[in-house]
Amino acid sequence: MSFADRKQALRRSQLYRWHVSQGAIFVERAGGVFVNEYDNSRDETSAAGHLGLCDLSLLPRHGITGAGSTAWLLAHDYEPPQHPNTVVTQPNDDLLVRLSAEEYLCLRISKLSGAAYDEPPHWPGDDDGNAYPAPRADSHCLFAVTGSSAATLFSKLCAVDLRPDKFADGCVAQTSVARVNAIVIRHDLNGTRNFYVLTSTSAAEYLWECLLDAMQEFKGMPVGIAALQAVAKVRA
Amino acid sequence: MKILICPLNGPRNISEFTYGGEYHPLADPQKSNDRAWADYVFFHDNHAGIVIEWWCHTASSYWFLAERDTRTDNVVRTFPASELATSDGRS
Amino acid sequence: MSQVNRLPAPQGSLVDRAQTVSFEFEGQCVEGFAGDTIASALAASDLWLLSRSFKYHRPRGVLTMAGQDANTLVQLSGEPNCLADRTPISEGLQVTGQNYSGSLRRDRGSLIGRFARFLPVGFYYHAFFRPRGAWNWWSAWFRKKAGLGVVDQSFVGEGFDKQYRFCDVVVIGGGPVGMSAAITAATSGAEVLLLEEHTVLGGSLNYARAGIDANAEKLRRKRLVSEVEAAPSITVMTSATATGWYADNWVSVLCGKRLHKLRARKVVLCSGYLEQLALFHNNDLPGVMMGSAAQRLIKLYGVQPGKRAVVLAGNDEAYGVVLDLLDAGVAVAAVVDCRAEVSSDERVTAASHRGVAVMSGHAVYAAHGDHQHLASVEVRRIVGQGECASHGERINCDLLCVSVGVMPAYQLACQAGAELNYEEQSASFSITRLPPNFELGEAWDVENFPWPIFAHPQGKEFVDFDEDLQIADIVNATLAGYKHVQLVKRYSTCGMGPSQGRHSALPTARLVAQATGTTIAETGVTTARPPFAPETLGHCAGRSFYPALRTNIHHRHIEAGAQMLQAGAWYRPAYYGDDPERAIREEVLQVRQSVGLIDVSTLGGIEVRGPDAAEFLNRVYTFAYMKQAPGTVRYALMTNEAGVVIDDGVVCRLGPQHFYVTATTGGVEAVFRKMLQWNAQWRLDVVLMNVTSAYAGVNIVGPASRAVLEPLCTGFDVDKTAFPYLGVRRGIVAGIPAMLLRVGFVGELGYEIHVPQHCGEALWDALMDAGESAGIRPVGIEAQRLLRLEKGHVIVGQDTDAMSNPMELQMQWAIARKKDFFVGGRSLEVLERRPLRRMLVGFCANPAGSVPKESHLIIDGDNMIGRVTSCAWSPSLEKIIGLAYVDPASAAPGSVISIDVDGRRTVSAEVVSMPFYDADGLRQAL
Repeated sequence: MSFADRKQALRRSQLYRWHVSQGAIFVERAGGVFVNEYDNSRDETSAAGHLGLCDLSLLPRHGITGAGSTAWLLAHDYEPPQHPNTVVTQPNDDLLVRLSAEEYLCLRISKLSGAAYDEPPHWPGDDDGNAYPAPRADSHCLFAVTGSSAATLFSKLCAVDLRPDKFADGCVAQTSVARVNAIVIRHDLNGTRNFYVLTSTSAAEYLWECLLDAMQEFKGMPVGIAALQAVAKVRA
Repeated sequence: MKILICPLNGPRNISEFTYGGEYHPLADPQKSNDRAWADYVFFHDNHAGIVIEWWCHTASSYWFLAERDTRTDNVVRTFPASELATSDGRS
Repeated sequence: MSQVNRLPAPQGSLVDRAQTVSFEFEGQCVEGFAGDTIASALAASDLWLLSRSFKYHRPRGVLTMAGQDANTLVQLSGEPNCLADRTPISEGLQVTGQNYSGSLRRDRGSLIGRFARFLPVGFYYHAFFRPRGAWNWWSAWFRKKAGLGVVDQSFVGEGFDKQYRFCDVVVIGGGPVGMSAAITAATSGAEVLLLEEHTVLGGSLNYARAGIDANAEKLRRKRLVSEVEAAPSITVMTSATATGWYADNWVSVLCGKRLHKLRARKVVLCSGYLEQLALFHNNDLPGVMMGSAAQRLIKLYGVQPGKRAVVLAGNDEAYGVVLDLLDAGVAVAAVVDCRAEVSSDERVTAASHRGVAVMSGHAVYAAHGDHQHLASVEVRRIVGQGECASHGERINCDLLCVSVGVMPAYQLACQAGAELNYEEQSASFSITRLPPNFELGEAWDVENFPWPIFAHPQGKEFVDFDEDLQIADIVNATLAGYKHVQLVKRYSTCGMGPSQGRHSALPTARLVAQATGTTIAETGVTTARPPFAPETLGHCAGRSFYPALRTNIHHRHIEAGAQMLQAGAWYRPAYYGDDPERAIREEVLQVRQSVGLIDVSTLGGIEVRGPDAAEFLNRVYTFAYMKQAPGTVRYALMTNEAGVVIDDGVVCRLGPQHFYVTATTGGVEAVFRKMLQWNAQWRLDVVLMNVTSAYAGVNIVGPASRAVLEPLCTGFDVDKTAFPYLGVRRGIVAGIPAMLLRVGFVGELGYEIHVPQHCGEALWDALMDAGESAGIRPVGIEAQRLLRLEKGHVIVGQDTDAMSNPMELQMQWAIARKKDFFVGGRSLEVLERRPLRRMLVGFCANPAGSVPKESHLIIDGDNMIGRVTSCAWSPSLEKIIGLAYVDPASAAPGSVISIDVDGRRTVSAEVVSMPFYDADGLRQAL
């Protein structure tokens, strides 16, 4: 599938042009355009095991906030994390992040495998008591930083100790990365270290450049979602 | 770089926080004469000793309070705003 | 004379004799071995002159061999002020001396030493001071003479950067104490970072001698290093210097080109001691060095430090030096021991047994040179504190090892708030008031010779080598009235040079104490601020982060030829094209006459939801919102508790309990935070969300905007009755879910369309396509600012300042009178009862005149009565229009005001009623 004519897509990652310049081969997932791989001879799967950076900005996400959020989630078969700043994988493989006592963020990781986008079956509407939807699909961009050197990479950008033994799988940090506010989520992919990073959509290009720059030292590189999915399977 | 312990996010560098001024209970504008109101708005105690201050963890927009000793810059404790006495009058 | 001073192995633990390295010093080819520093390689080839001193251009050579002094600062081809005793040699390296005229050996600047009495202490201070203008005369001369190396201006940036690090325990110093501390901490389960400033672990074990056995240190080092290496929880960083301690054990560590920002639970300071100077005439001659420097030359680099030595002793360590010198084949002519009685240390006995003459109770009174190197010393009997007999004897020597005392490297401990104490009797130090989680690896209780200071009638007993300060300079500073050691430092510049008082602090304290009749403990030392060791500009400047924010439409602006400007962190299109005047004029007329497209994505957006949402807005804004109908938009003006205007925007009511509020681009972060803080106290049942980055926004504006937009809309009607001015609608635009606002910022029919951020570019494309036949074009923020000025709308932060209240802005209409509370309301009530001090008014000026600029003053005779806040030539009105604060007396329409333009001419302007354009607001309501 070619997305050379951008006018086909309503939702466009801020990094689309950068991906094109790097020979990206695109694929449609969940109604958005993702990089499947970059058109070169590099082994992105092994890169993802060492240090890879993947743009998932168009992955569907939902937010919920308000005093009734936890109750609403429980009533609708979600499994909300017990504590703020932790993440729990839902039965359908989506990730539910608890940001504070009554604020959650849902990353619809499960949607990476299908092309079509479907609305979430259960999400609060405008008049659903004291739980309100938050427009999280567009407020943030979303990157995955994978591989054994990922924590070391972050030590050049972020003052929180994200080393494996200090920041366990399932931990979340709301902090500053390269001087922009960010949410860092550790969610390993079948044993491969993996961090999801969310920052303001407007800062997407800025943070992407910072990450690429910081990665050079460790020979990291951008990868497509194919590599991400391969890494998740290989170790399974 | 000083560390401040955010009740929501744990210990973080002070650079992750925004200072929100000294805490003082809200004055009732109706019951304050001009002089008392001006004092409330413009005068700060600048007390040498333990003061209560507003701090916001910027990345999570989370407000909390800190008891800080202005003589030593030592933060005695931090606590969520929900622990404040609810004698603010306005709610 | 290649490497004539090189000793055979095993001396020289750091050098590899199998690898010869050639480099250039002062144009001369010099050979050394891999592992040599510049200074050690030069010494191996009997080259001892390294530099010229800062003030008197005196010849200087090796002093510490540990990078602790400024004597060894040399110039590399691309970098000035490199420490020759720390910088490794490399093939082809080009090294020159610094701070000389002519050549290093024959420096014309050294003549200045003869005029020393005309350059007294405080000279610079006085020259600055008077007579008036003196500085201008002197400065040209200083500029030429002062300063050390030469900066390479063709330098291209290289990869300096920064990194955060974490550990349980950081041990600073990799000597025997540090290694032991690291092992102990690791045994108890801690994650340890061991920092060593030199290239290898071992510290004094690499060069010093604690007993008669020459191999004891080597064996001890081997054992400790292998223990450290075997401990998995110890990380060793060599060539890593801890340069500063900051709150909560935050330690800056320089290693190579990286600045490590280290956070440790506990700091263990094992930084050891710095050997100290003795003060006597010509104590700075090359050939005079610390005893430890001679030991380092011998053991680290395999370099014989001289042929015939005298050792000036003040403690037993000096006898370790004696033994090492003898082992290295250096003849020891005498040990001059300042102590009246020599101790019974085994090293003292061993030295005597090896036939070394010991002169106890003596001092070196003066050193004498020949060809810029030590040739002899004059030794005299000590007859009182700092006093010598009137005659003595001369001993020929080419090396004087000074070993009279040490001072702990206390700097980091004092940065952490500890106090350094001095015990007068034993001349030893101790430390108190260490902060929690900060320990010393050892007690600093080494005894020193208390008064190694011997004044000479001809001076030149240097206290501070960096600044060429002599005994008299310090004493004279106290006589000039600067009796406190901190003032002495500032007056004399003592301790301000590159070595930061490492060797001058103690003698200065002693001299000031003596001159002012206090104790040394009372006098104390000057504050040791970070950094402890020199930081390069590269470390400070290395990788910094400057966030840049871009809208989803950013690249379309660039493709359309926009000149982008950065407003805060945001990139915004200023105007499109190369000619700003023309572009802005055309863009303004485009909006007034047909249709333009403005990217308003940077506008702040806050969602307010919940049962108390309307009450909340009532409290934070000056207007009233309780009765606002869903589907409508109201202006929003925010004041702080003092009644000062701090932000503005609009409030859109989307439902009974659901509002969308806009805030200024630069203000939204603070406004959102402030709202949360207020509600933390009010506790209204309301949820606040900063959704600024969630939505892209495009303002399609101009009389033709409706016609362009209409075909793209589904789910709602855009006609005047269905969607009037100050309405808000939700629907689909070009297939994208959207929220549309009809607002009047620029004063024409327009629709502000807010869509999910990732759809911004798609919306922009759809509107540009739809407007093609209508001649649509993008409009930048310069034109937008001009359009709003024509409408007389203020921009908070440009037309307001930290004192502006709504009355001054003539915006009383935005204050709801029937509310019992809003932030700032009580203050406004007080302010309204008082006469206004100034008012913001609109003015018009002759279109042919010069255009006043922001902040130009409004004058009335000699009085300043206000200032311009916005001003431009208006294409719509074809005259100069602007906003200005003026005295209320000049605020009535028709008043004539004078504007001082650039201090060169006065422009006369007339105050007019606002808005300038479309006074009845008919066009925006079309």
